[in-house]
This record gives sequence, C-alpha cells and structure tokens, in this order.
Amino acid sequence: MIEDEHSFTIKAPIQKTWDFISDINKISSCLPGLEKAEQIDENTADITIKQKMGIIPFYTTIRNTITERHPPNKFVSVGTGEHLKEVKLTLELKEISPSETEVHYKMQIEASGNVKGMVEFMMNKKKEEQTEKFVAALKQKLE
Amino acid sequence: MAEYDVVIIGAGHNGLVNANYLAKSGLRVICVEKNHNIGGGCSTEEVTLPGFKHNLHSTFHGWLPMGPVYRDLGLEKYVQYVYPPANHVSLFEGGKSLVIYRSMDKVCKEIEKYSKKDAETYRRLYKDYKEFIDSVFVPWFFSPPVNQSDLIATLEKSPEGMELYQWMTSTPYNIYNELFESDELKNHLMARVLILGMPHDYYGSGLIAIFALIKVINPICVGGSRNLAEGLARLLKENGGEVIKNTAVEKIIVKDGTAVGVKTADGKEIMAKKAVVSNIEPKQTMLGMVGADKLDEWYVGKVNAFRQDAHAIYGVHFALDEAPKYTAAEKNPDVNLGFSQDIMGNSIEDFIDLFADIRRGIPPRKPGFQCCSPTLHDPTQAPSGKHTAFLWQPVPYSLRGKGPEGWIDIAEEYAEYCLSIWQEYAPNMRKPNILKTFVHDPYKAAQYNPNFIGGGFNAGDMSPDQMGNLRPTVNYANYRTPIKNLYLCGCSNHPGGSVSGSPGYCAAGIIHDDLGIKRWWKGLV
Repeated sequence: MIEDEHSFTIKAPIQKTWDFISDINKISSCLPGLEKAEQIDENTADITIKQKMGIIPFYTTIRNTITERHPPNKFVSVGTGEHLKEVKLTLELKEISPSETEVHYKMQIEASGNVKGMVEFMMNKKKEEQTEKFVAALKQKLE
Repeated sequence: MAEYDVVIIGAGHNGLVNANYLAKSGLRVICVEKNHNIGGGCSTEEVTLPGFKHNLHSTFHGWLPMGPVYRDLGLEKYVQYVYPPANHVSLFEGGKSLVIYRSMDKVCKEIEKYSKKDAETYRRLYKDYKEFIDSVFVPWFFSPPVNQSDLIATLEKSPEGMELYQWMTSTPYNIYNELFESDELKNHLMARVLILGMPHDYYGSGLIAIFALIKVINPICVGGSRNLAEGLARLLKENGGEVIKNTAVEKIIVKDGTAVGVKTADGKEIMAKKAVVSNIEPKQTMLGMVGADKLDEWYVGKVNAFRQDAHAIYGVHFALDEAPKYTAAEKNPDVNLGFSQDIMGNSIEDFIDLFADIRRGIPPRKPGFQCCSPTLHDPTQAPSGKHTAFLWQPVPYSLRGKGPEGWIDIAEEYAEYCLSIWQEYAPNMRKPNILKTFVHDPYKAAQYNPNFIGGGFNAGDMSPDQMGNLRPTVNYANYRTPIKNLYLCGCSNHPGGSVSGSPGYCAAGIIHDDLGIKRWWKGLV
C-alpha cells in the first residue's frame, strides 16, 4: 500500500474550491498525465493516465467513483483498474479566510496480482512528483 | 530426532537470506550446509599463501545493495561494501583503454576518444532508459516472476515501447551493432553482458544489453565475499536461527506428498513442521533428494530438461607482491584503479570466436578474460602492502573427447597461456611479483559447490527459455514444487545467478503467503 499525504493552501473561497473538486470532470483535468476522461454518470468516470518511466510510457485506466460528498468539506473517490486493487483519494477542505482554503490531500494506492510489488514500487517513486503536479494544476485552475 | 519449523538445505547466500526472513517472523529455522564453510558461491579461501584471501567464485555484488535484502535485514551491521572510483576498464591492443567511471560525463569523454557519435548515443540511452531500468527492471528482478505478457502489452501501446520490445527479443550483439559504431565500445559492452552470464547471441536477452549500459556499479564485499555469508549467519543467530556445517543432506523425507524433513548422510533425521527449502538446483533436489518415483513423469521430464550454464568459469588466482600495473595506465592512470580490467579482444566480433570454441568444447584459443585485484579497493584481503588478483576466463565445462575431467590435465598449462596474454597488458604479472598461483578450473568448481552444475555460476543457463516464469521449469517457476511444503530458493529460480539474495527473498515471501504469516517487511518500496 502506497500512501501520500499533504496539506496546501488554495487562494480561493471554500465553496468555489468545493464546486471544482466535487465535479469529476474538473478534478480529473488536474491529474498529471491525463490522457482521457470519460464520464459514466455523475459520480463515475473512466480515467486513462499516462506515466512515463524514462522514455517508456505506461498507460493505466481507472474506473473512478466518488463515494463520499460532504459539502463543502470532504470528498472521497475510489478507483480500480488493471493491477490496481484500490486507488483512494480523500480531499478535506477547511476555510482559512473568505478567500483562502486549506486542502488536505491523501492518496492511498494498493496494487494487486503478481505485479503488485513492481506497480507499488513505480507509484512510490513517482508519488511526490505527481502530487506536486496535481497541486500546481489545481492552483492554476482555482487561483 | 531434531525438529524445526523450517529446514533449509544449503547455506549459500540465498539459503541464508531465506532463513533470515523466515526466522524474523518467529519460525524456528535451521540451515544445513554440506561444506566446512558456509557461503556457496560467496567463498573466500586462503588457497595460495596465508593471509591472501581469494574469492573463488563471486566478487561482484552489484545487485545486493540495489535490492531490499541489505536494507530489510540490517546487513550493514556486519557487511560493508566498497565502491571503486572507476568501474570497468576495457584494455585493447596498442595500449588503448576505455574506462567506465561512475560519472556519466567522464564516461562520455572516454567514449569520445573512439566515437563522438557513440558518446552522444550513450548519453541519450542513459537518459532515456535509466528511470525504466531503476523503476521497472530492478523491481522485476526482486519480485517473483511476472507474466511476460503484462510487460509486453504495456510496451505495445507506444512507439517507444515497441522499440524496446524489439530490442528485448533480439541479441546483445545485434543491439550494440545497431546502436554504436566504435569497436572498442561494442567490445566493452559485450564483455559486461558476458560477465552478467550471457553470451552475445541469445535471442530474447536484449534487455540485459540495455541494463549493461545503465548499471555499472560493482561494489566489493569488505573482507572477501564470504563475509556476506558470515554476516548473514550472525544475523540468523540473532534472529533465533541456526546453521550446521559439514552435514550433507541425502534425502528429503516426503510423507503423503508433503515434505516433512530431511535425512542427512550420517543417517540423522531433521524434521520440518512447516517447510523444507532447498538452495540446491532442481535436478539434485527433486530427482536426487526427493526421488523421481515420488514425482509425475511430466515434471521429471521438465527437470531433466533444465540445462546447465552454456559456459563455465575458469579462474586463476594470484598472490602478489604488488598490484597489476597496466601499460595503458601511462595514458590514463585510472586504468590501474578500475574495479576490473577486461582483456576480451578488440571488437565485438571476438566474442563470436570465443563462443565458437566454447561450443566446440575447446578452451578459447584467443582467450578473453576479466581481471580484478580486489585488494586495491579492500586491503584487508591480503597481508599489509600485498595484493591478490584473479582472471576469469569463460570456457567449456566438458572438453571435447575428454569430458570435464580433461581439465585435470590442461588446467595449469592453460593458466600459463592466459597469463602470457595478461603480461602483454600488465608486464609486472610475472615472477617474482607473482608469489603463488592457484588454478580453479570448472571441474574443481563443480565438485566444490553442488549448484555449479557444469562449472557455471548461474545454477542453470540464463537463456530466455529458462528465465522469468519459465525458470527452472514451466508451471513451477514460483519457488514452489509439486511436493507440498517443499520450496526452492537458489539461483536456479528467477531471477537467476548473481549475488542478489533475490531468489531467497522472493521464496521467503511465497512461503509466508502459503503459511498465512504476515510479512514483516515492507516490500520493494
């Protein structure tokens, strides 16, 4: 199981931040390496992500479902895909001021099958870089 | 009658790694070793003069510190490594050399001596593939074998992946000829592949050619290679396990299709409540210790079909007054300080002749060998101010018309021949600088260690049809065997030969899963 957890501040009101992250299409657009996002229903999307290991790209398609919405404070989505048992994203929002929101981000990834060790190793290597890109994209869209 | 949870046959480094992972989970473990020294291929013996320690088999422990074993077991407590400033050096006729440093900029400057274009290509390949090798190939090496189709399916999704896929299916010879123009660089790279255990022309072994470009660091175990095994044994004791030496296992006791213990050559029984694990290659373990009568015909056929290494290693070990001094060092003093010096001809074509002779059962008429003086980097392996050195020459195990025993007659003479070539490059490699010589031919090596079938060091040929989820046999390539509670943990299993601890580590994970015990370690992460 790979875990990554960070807190950061967005210079945007909490409601605006919530409206963005709770929209599966909008939040997906911030995922690093997004190749394709296909909305299935209000809570579900198939997301294809490209992640490069050196020159070689690896494509992963995850069916991602929003499982919890507690507006405007908490959002949980859970995904599954090939070799991925669970990809869980938890975002918790806290108003710092009328124009600033603190976001607590937690990603948990559990791979499966006989490539579990390898997949988790790759994800672990990339997690900080991916989080940095995700936060930067979120800020760019909201600030 | 002694009783343990797990009995491990063979205290080579993989057996000891396996034992430590199991003992740390609270299992009562014993390692049973046939020889008077533990370590298997990690052997260090004073075979020339007192105080001169010679690593008769492994010296290059590049894989071990790269993987999880060193970290998980806290091996740094007893086992240290030194990293030479220059890695491999290739020596060519006319005093030419190619030094592969740890710094990519310095490597490229060296390659530029022969081809500017090759230096650019080398740098590009390093940039393009380093992360792939570090993040995909290395974890693959330290994981139980995966379905090859998973990786191929991934590669088939992009043009870059397709190029790598084509290389994977090809040979090192083809790949280096495609990528580079300089004879010297191609010769150097092919020497690296050979030292990893593969010839130039195995289709399907192309990934190792890319790996050899990227991973060049080879640490030396301080005090000699056997120190790794001794360190593992000390840790095992601390973890509640035991090692007994001078005790050969004759039989694996099987009751109702389940391994329940072992019987030693002196008639003692050591019972195993949970598992028997063998660090010995499958022919001796399954057909010898278990017995073909307890196995189905199909499996017996597959074990019989498992082939020994395609070439054997012939080692000549020297006690020296001073370390080898190479003529090429007049142009670049770092030549003398390299981890190893390869004298393997002048072009990649020389490997064709080398293997043609090996396949005909002839000791190569134009030898191509690797030289190393470990004491340059670890002075503890010789008396103060003195040195050890060795040469490793790939040879056939079985000599044409004479068989393996043929080495008894020619081993010393062939050593003189190889030494005469070494002297052309290092003129001080002669008496009185040479204090004593010891020849370790493949016939002797195979007798010393039961895993060195055919005098090779991989406990089974590393051809693509015997790798990954095909090693050692199809359908039983996951450290399990058809006998319940009997496992294999030696380098006849994925990922093959080398001092990595990976087969022992991977087998420990599988045994934990089968026994329903939670793994105490984090995994590769």
